[in-house]
Amino acid sequence: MGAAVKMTALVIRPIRLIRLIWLIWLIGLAGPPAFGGEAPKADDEQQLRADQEKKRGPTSPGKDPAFLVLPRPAERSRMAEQLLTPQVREMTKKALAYLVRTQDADGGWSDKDYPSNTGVTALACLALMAEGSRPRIGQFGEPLNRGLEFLLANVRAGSGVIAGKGCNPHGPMYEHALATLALLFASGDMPWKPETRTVLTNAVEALKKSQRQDGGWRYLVSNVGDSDMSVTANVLWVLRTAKKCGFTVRQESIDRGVKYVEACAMPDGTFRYRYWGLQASPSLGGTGVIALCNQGKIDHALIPSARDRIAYDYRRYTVDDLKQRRYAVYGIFYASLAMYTCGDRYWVPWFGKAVEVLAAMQRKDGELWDEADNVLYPTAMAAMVLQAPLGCLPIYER
Amino acid sequence: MTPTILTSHGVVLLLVLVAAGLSAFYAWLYRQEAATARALTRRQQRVLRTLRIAVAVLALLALARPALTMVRRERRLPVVPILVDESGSMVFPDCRDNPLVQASPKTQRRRYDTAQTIAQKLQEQLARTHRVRLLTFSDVLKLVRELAPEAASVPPADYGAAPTGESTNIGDAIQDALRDMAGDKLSGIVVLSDGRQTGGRRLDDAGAQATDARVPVHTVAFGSEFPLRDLRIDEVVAEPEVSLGDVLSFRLKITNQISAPLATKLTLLEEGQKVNEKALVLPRGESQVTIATIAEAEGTREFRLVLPQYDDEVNTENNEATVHVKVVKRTLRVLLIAGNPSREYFYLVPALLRDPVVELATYLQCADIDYTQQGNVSIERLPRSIEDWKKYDVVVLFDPDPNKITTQQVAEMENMVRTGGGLMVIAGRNHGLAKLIQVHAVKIRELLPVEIDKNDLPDYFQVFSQPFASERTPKGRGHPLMRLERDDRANEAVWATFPKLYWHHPVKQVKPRSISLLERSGSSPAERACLMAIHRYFEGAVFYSGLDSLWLWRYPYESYDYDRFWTDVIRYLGETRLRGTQSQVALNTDRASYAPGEEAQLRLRILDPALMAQLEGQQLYASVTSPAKEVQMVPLRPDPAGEMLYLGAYRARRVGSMLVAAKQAAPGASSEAKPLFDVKHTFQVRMQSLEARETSADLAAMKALAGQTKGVYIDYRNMGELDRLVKAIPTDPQVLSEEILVEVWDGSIFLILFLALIGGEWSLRKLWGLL
Repeated sequence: MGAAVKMTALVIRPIRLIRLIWLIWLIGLAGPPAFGGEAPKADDEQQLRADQEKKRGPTSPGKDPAFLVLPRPAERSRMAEQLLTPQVREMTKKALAYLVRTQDADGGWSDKDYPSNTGVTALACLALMAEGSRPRIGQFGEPLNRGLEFLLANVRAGSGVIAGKGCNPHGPMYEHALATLALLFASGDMPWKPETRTVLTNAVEALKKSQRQDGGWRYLVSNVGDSDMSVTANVLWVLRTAKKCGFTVRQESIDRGVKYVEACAMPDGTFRYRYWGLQASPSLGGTGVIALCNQGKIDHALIPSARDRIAYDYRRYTVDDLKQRRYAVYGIFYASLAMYTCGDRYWVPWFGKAVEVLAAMQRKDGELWDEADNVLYPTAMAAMVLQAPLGCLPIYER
Repeated sequence: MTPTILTSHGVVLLLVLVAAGLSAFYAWLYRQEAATARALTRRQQRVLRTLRIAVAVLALLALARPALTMVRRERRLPVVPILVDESGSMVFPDCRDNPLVQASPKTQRRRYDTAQTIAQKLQEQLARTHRVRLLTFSDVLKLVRELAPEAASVPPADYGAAPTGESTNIGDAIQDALRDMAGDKLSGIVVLSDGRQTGGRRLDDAGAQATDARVPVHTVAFGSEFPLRDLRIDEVVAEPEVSLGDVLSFRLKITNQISAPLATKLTLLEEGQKVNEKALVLPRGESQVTIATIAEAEGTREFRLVLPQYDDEVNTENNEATVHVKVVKRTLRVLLIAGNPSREYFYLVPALLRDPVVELATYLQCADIDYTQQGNVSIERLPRSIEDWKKYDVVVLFDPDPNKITTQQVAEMENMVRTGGGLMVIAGRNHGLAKLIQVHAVKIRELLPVEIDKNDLPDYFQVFSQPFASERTPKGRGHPLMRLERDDRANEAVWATFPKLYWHHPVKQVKPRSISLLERSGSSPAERACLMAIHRYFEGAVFYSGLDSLWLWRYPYESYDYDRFWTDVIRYLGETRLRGTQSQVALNTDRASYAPGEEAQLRLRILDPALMAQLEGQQLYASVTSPAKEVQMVPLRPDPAGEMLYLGAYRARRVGSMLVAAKQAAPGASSEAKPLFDVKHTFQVRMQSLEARETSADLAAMKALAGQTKGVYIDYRNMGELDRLVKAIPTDPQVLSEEILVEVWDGSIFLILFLALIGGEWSLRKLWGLL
């Protein structure tokens, strides 16, 4: 997956930043805007604490922190109720039903270009987790469990890389990173698979070992050669999640990865695919923001422009324009992670437009597509975006 | 005029006999004088004869005592007494809505001032047609003056000193007026008062007496039906100690007697600097208000709560209150022991890290050996001694691996809880509690508020695809932990939004003294499995949750309620350590002050249902200490109405400040152990003026009195209708009739006539030579 991803490098002007989330919270992004209506009002204590934390800004307490503590909301948000319209719920229902229907007999998922693929399977599992299901618990507990067991069954002996025979011919890093992510989220809920911990230990080790000289990662599970922005952002995300789950990840490793991301940034808020590239891709903006935020670089100078760029794109371009972009759903998925983190002021209008695009791209059976007519991974990604307001998947963080 | 005779019938008979004798004598005398009288002419004889007979008749008439009866009539003006209340309550400000008050300068707005104005107007109008008597009353009726009838001008009256009467006896005043003026015609009685009778004859009795006497009582009421204009802070409740960086809340009881509603603002100052301000809209009467701030400076801080002052407030000193709070740099040290990083773990850790008072140390049992554990404080291993465990205030066991915690550690943890710490046990599917009980049977069993079947190990192959709803138990609804909003309706609305769940840990039963807070919805008891429970464990407390997917409650309001719930539980469990004392009870009395002899009701309210369960069957006492250090123990009994309340009664005897204290040890605890609660409250016993007890006017009583006696009633609403009152007082004069008896004979006319007749006869006899 991702072989055909050639991101147009955009130019972004690197600027030294004040704290991003500081800026975001100071201009009122921390608390979602009140929609009015029937949500019970916040009390004074909550309001005071929220104001205090807003002034303080996000923190990462601890000696080697993995958790980001963001200021609490001053009042109850109506965002979820407002965004999960009947249309969104129907789209989600169809997408999830499609995923369940198309699960392979061995528990995995296959796409046109990625048969029996651990990356696609991981995305499908994440989509089912976003609904609120856990392995063997919930509406989709059983297919989720089978999907996760498929991942566990496709670990390459010796290397610990979670990639089956249908992986990306350029290299399995996407699959491996996404599969590791899915298993990390599920590891605490699969006691009948005690080997999960060992698999993850090896998987994280594989990630750590394949960090390249320039600080990033690329398709091949190898520390030789140049990296790319997309894989690097994904891996950084996974490493942080691994840290939360009790895996040791050195800060030095993270810092080098962040430096690579910074090197790919362009002044206008976009990111190049490779640091020496000339063109940027709108779809990478989200990955850039996530990569930085997730590592606690919430005050990073690059984030406001990246966020603004995404917001601008979705305001400026029509549904058809956005639909026609390469790897449109991929871009929407990563943009969703970024915009969600940036707060409702950006998230809500962005989500509205994104839903329009996804609605235009959803077929009658519930699946979405990419230009190569792959349907599973876009459907899984779209399902995660549509279910983000539920707040059930820790990838959406604020 | 009616002629009459005053002499009795016997005497009249005698007079008739005398007349007959006189006639015989005169006849003999005339015969004797006949020779001499032959020289007189007939006419001269007739004259002499007539004169002599007239004298005799006159003499006889005098003896009969003739008299005349006459009726003398006198017209007088009717009397109107104006009774002006001069009791202490008349010093209070009059109602601002009274047009007379609005027209008066600020220094003359007392009820007494308005009464004097009204009395003057009435005197001026009534003096022309009535005899006006101005009187004052408190406990006795006193005459100020009586105006001369039809006085041309009415100067202002001299009422003397300011009203200081100790009581208001309107009934007595009316009775006294009726009695003292019984001889006059009373056109009516006018009573100027606030109607707030404090003693004497009942108003309706006095009204009945006036009705019998056909004397209407017209009433002019001063003041209003509302207590005096005042905005005051009655009570401020705040923690005596708060942690640095934590929210400090002030709960106020405010009474608004200014207007309804009143838009105002409450300002909170810390050491003279404004730290918060809250706009309020207060209804008339009492309101509960909260205002909060973050305690940002250490030490004993002075907080002032200030309400604005309004014109004509009876007391402006009570518009503010000062509270001293000690701000201490102290944290709630929490140790989270988690077996595996489940989905709940991902959300629980940031929720606990967010609380500024919580100092979190996590220990993920499955973590890499060189992993830096998360939290504000990073630990490398679990505590290994009692002292180490006691460094924590609350321990959270989140689906722990029982094989990675020793029996010794569990025993030490139990000791920590027993001596005031808190324990939260979150059951999970990975290891389950059955295994934990199998490995560490005794202590874990004792600690848990529920019974778990140790043989009920998790079935990993079971798929949980059917959702279930959860609901708060009846006791859970009232428990502070299940309260996500102060307002009941808002709280219900929030709970109604939470989605269904799919898995919970099985529970055999809830222990007798535990409180089940949340249970699975179901129609039969078998279906209603306990999901959350709590109990007091010696000096500490233990909370159980059989749910490991509360993160689903992040829909729809994201982390708002989810985070608050967890931190509320943590704070509740660590309260003893955090505050130094349990604040799950509130001790007060039904009033702040009493007069000697009155009974004070002592109220010990239990705020924590778990504590209420712990106290069941125990005898509670409160001690009341007087200023002279005399201590009386008052037994406290559970409220018969079933509220979480213990009640006692104390009769106040001595004057001064009384200290009530209530303290209770945990059942079975040693004498050195900390008590479950140790609370105090003070109240005052002082001599109280009856007049100051109730500051509102009793307009209803005044109206009833006027109605009963068919008089006119006037208050601030129709104060301009004084003319109507004047017109209602009849001007019919008092007519006095007197019967007079005049004895005609006993007068100068009778005597002169008698003398004239005798003298004339003698003179003529002399003249005509008869003598």
